[in-house]
Amino acid sequence: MPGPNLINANPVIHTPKAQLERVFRIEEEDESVHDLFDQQEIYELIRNINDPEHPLTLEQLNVVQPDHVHIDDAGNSVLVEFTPTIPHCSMATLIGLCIRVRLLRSLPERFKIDISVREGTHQSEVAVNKQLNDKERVAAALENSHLLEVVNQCLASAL
Amino acid sequence: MVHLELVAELKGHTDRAWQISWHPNGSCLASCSGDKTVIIWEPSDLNGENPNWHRQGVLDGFHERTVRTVAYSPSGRVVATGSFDGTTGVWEKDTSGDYECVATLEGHENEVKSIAWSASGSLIATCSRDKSVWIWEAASDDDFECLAVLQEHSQDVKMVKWHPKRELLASASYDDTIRIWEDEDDDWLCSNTLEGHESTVWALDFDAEGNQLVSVSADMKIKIWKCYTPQNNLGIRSFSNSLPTWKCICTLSGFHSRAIYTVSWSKHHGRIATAGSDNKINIFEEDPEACQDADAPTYVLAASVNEPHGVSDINCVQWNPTEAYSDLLASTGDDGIVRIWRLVQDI
Repeated sequence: MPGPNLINANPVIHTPKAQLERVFRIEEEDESVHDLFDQQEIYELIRNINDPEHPLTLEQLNVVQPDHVHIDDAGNSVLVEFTPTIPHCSMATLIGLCIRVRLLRSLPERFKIDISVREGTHQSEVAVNKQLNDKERVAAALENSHLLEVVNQCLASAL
Repeated sequence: MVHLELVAELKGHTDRAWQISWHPNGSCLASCSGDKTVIIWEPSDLNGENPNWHRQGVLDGFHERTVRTVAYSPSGRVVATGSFDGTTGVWEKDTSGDYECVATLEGHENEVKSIAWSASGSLIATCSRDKSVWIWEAASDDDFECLAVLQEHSQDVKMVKWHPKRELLASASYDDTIRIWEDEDDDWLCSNTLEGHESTVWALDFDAEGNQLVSVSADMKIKIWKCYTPQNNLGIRSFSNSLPTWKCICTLSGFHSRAIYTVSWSKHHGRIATAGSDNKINIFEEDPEACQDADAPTYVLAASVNEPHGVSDINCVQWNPTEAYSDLLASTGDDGIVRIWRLVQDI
């Protein structure tokens, strides 16, 4: 059972909507056609990331949702909006960092990745978003071996 | 019109490159990287049509983390490096031609983000994520003393830059402001806070005389600020009776679609180069046909290069500091490659 010192000791657990059987489009099966990344593929990459304090995935906690992933393949940009479990969640920056690292490691370099807290879902939304999208601070954070270990733990099950 | 032509590609870093510093005589340059090293690059003959550039030296083995910033001293004798490991190193060539760290400047609580030498070479400024700006006095090449610790920024300080002639320092911050620091009776104080950017101010540079400065920001805007003395004709009010005040006289927006990380204002031909996360270098010049109002200048886009570093962010652009090679622009970014461009006048 979760200990008493957790930020959010009793989060609401969501049962993922039954995964729709993935329908492959013609161009996905035709190797000669340039296959674009879509919303569902990006979501697949992040839905199984573990929450830093619960043995649950970001999908189970409704932190990430397919509709909050935006991709413009031709424009080389991805935006993921996430919803902290509670408005004062001190783990928000760490969760955002995990999502960023997962996408950095999985997507081609051409993509510019933006991560943000979904509007109105966190009391320090502006500060969290600014930090998550400052590449220099992200680079410095990922050189911190302790932090990197925590991030890798959250990502381990997402692979 | 003008355009940029690629003249050289310098490959050697094994991680993202953050910054470039030209030697003051324009003959070689230093680049620093996430691979924890600085490489000194030297051309075979800069006057030749297509000089070959080679590695003249490598500064390594000292910093434990990313080298974020590198700066030649005005004499060109020493190179200063600042790192995410929180330290600043001062390097000199030893008798065998290898670079050696001869002094360390310690005190910042965490990442050093930028270093700048004053025009005379007697002062160094450093800034850090710890929100402070430090001013150091160079007694000799390997002896430095901290003169001041300036702690008025409320966030991470991204860049420091000295005035080209006077002992006046500008700092740019994650708190969206620029601060101007001046020495009044041996006391360093913040004489101006320049507000107007809507997000992190990543970089700034002065014009040749130091009467104007240009800043770039994550808000995707470029701003030009002008210095007004206390008794100026326009009646612009000063912070005090003795110190000048800075006012934004021009904002350029719509030219970059993501954060702008770097700006360089040529001291010779006056063109401004900007670049950042949208994979584009832009060159601006004052519009020769617009009405010439020194208090409301008009700048136009004179040239642009799309994807000069492929799909990578561009972290730094720097004009060559000498008149002879003022047409050369160096750039670097997340691909770790340094590229040298020549500004060519279209016929």
